[in-house]
Amino acid sequence: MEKNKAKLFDIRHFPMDMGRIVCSSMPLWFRLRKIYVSDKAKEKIRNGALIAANHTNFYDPLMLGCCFWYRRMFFLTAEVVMQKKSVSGLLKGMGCIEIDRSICDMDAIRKAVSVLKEGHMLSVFPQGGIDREENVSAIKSGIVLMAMQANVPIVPVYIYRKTKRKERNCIVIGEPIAPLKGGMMSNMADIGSYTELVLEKMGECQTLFEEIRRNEKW
Amino acid sequence: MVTVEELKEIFHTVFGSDMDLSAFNENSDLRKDVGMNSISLLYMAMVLEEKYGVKFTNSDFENMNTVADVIRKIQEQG
Repeated sequence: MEKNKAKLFDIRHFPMDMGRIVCSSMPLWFRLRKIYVSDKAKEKIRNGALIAANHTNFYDPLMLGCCFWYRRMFFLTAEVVMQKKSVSGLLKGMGCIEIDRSICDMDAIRKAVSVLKEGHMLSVFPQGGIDREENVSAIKSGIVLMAMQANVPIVPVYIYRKTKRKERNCIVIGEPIAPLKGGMMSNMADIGSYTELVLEKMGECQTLFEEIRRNEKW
Repeated sequence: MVTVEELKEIFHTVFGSDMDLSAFNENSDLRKDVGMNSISLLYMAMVLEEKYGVKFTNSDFENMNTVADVIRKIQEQG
């Protein structure tokens, strides 16, 4: 796999780096608990990687930022969030890449692939928007295409936003899934089964969380 | 210069049995006849970008309806 390490200092990413400094202290504010599915999942991600997480509310990107504050993280952001110019400017500075979900947004995909190739992390909520359902039932294959073109692994993540005051917010991080071996000449059936694998691994993260929650009698 | 046959071969490798390529010709409609959806269109664009060095933009997808449109796009930039 190609090893592309991001630069430690880059003036283009100054607003994002400031955001990361803020995020580094926010786990205390969120009472965030990180759970890893295995020792392999605990290893720090050092090259480009695509984070696939469930999306139940607006705090999810912030929680991911807190979890991976040690790395520059970009977000694929829906066009509806970027409608206001003032907000959109700030979000773009913080690393949001606007994607128009109503069209085949090749420009957004190209930008996303380029940040991954530069060795950064990219967070995607593959359900395609906020979904308040407890279980992730379907995800879009676009993430697989991006990971495949950039030749980076996909890290499945499950985010739990607390609903009761006594609870803690939780992030379950799965093991990175190696990119498809066939590269850009993989066929659609392989892409479909890889998408299913990502969904399954996201489900495993959720199952682990629920097990821990049950055993600890939250 | 890319031909319909070359394009058919690429489609066959990439989309395999997911698509009906029996009547694949210049006038085939990508969505109706070939059965492509937004994901397969994106993947097609990515594969063709790598193979022929063309650059697809968002507006290209609005105007690209048939196989002939794809060939024209490759020939314009290739």
